[in-house]
Amino acid sequence: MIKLKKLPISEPQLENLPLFYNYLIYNELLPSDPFYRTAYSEKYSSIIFYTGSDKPISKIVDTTEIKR
Amino acid sequence: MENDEKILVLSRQDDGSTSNVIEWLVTYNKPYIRLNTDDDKARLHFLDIDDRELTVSKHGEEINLFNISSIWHRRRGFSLKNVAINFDELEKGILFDTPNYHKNHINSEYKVLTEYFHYILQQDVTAIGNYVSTDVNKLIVLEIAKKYNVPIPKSYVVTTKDGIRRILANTEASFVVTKAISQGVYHFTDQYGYYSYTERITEESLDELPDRFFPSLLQEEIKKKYELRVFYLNEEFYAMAIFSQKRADTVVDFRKHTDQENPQRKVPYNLPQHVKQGLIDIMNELQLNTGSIDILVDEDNNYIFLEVNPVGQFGMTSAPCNYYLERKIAKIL
Repeated sequence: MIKLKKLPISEPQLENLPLFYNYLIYNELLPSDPFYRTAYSEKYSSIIFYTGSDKPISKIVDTTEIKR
Repeated sequence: MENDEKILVLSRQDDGSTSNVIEWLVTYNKPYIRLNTDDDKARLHFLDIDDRELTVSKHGEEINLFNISSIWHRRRGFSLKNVAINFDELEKGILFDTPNYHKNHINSEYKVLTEYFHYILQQDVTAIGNYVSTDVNKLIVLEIAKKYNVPIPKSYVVTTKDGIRRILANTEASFVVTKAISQGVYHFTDQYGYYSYTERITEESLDELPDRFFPSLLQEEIKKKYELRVFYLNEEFYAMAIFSQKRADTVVDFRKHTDQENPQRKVPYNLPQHVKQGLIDIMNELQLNTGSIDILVDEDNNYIFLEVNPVGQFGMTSAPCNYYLERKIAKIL
């Protein structure tokens, strides 16, 4: 679960900002977060973001059990 | 100079969808050049308007962009980073009493140049996206939707808490929501991620808001059955229903989902023909052949159009629905 916190903004500042700034949230990026672990790929001219792989496969199906 | 025809991909280096499409271009042996707005890997060298030569170098290779076979406007691609200038020197003032004058002037000069590149390069080649419409005006888009009788939420721009009270007193909706008029906050630094979403405002939550504020967009909240995220490509629709209504954190905005252990249910969805036609009318008027469209389906099965993002993320629709959108884009290019 990502821990999100409300960004503290003073009332004088909020009086000069759009309403949605009252609800601005943030989280601290941890080494385990996808946005934290990146590399640069010359081949694709791209930053590669590594996503978590806790559950790469949600269910393993034994195809021998499938009845035609 | 390299004369083989290439596909020109205009993007940013942090756009993962671009890399996914490029993987398919590699699979199909389609040569490409990717220019990123936010890196300095490509350098602009020379433009000959009459003889159709626009030379850019990347990885030691010189390429004439007039030889491209197709273009994908995923992002703007060109930026001042493509020019060999020393930004520290540019920071120093030149005029005695207007230190930023020359910086604004440099930006204007390059803006005209890049507008010309985008204009001329998409002539007579297959193009996905359109430079003119990469950044649409949300309020004008709502006007266009109204013009084609596509239902939209009742919308207001307010500057005071009294203005919100007036709307709440006169609306049949239970709540109103507020969101950005342009783009919301979605910003990452090395340490933090910052986000804004569509947020609900109630009579009770008014106390927490300042009496006056910057002009802000308010819309009557739609009681939704589910949300639709639709990827549009050359009058084809790839829609996904998101059952965000069942969870308290995503009732107002499905993007607020943070519980990775319990993903939201997302399924492929077939839009009714009358909805498709309304969306085609909107996209044609905006001169867009691609974009990500947000729709709410209310409890009376009305399709309420919210907005279109010409450069919206489509991987989130492609993967759960097995649409293989990245492959479709690579095939068109």
